[in-house]
Amino acid sequence: MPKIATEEEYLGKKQDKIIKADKLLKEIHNLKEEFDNVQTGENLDNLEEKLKNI
Amino acid sequence: MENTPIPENLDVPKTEEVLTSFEERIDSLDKAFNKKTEVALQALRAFEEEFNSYLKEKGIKPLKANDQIPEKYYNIAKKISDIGYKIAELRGSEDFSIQDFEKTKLTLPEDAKSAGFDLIDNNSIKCPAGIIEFLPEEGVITGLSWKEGELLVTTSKNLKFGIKLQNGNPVIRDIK
Repeated sequence: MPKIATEEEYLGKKQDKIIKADKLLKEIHNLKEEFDNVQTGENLDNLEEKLKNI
Repeated sequence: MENTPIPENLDVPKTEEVLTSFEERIDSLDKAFNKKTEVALQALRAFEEEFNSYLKEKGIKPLKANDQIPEKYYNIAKKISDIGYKIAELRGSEDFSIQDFEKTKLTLPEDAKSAGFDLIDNNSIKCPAGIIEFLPEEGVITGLSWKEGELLVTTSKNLKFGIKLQNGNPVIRDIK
């Protein structure tokens, strides 16, 4: 059954959702960083391979 | 003594601007929320595109369910998907595209407005006693109609509720 909230409780929940949205945006930035690290790691591996072949 | 000139615009908000109504506060919070989730969605989509292009360059197919890909890529793909669903859940939408979310716009019947109901968003309805909130497991509101003094609400989980006001208090029944 649906719940009944007071105006203040309702506004509080809306604010919580904004905080959650901020956290998700941060998660996306962290994920992008993780991906950049994977790419950098791979580039370094490739460089090592190239150096071995010199 | 000389009269000090009174500046035309004092840099102090007027009382009316400080005291905002419930509706204005909701509106301001909704705007902030929509903006943040839209920015998050756009960032996620842009990143997903970049990630898929990178996989393609490496000869790995763009991701589909059950695709076998190296673990380091799988972990990133899984997180993209998880964040997408979390944003969708926050927005009260079952799909995380903005277009689909906009399709869920609803209109409250005039009779319901006259009775004291007000539609806040696609999972909450205001009445004189407070705000009726539908739970995530009940889905989002997909239909609203008015019949014999009762507001009929259907949800995306195929549930139907009838809401009547008795002395301003909502009486909710589950319609099987």
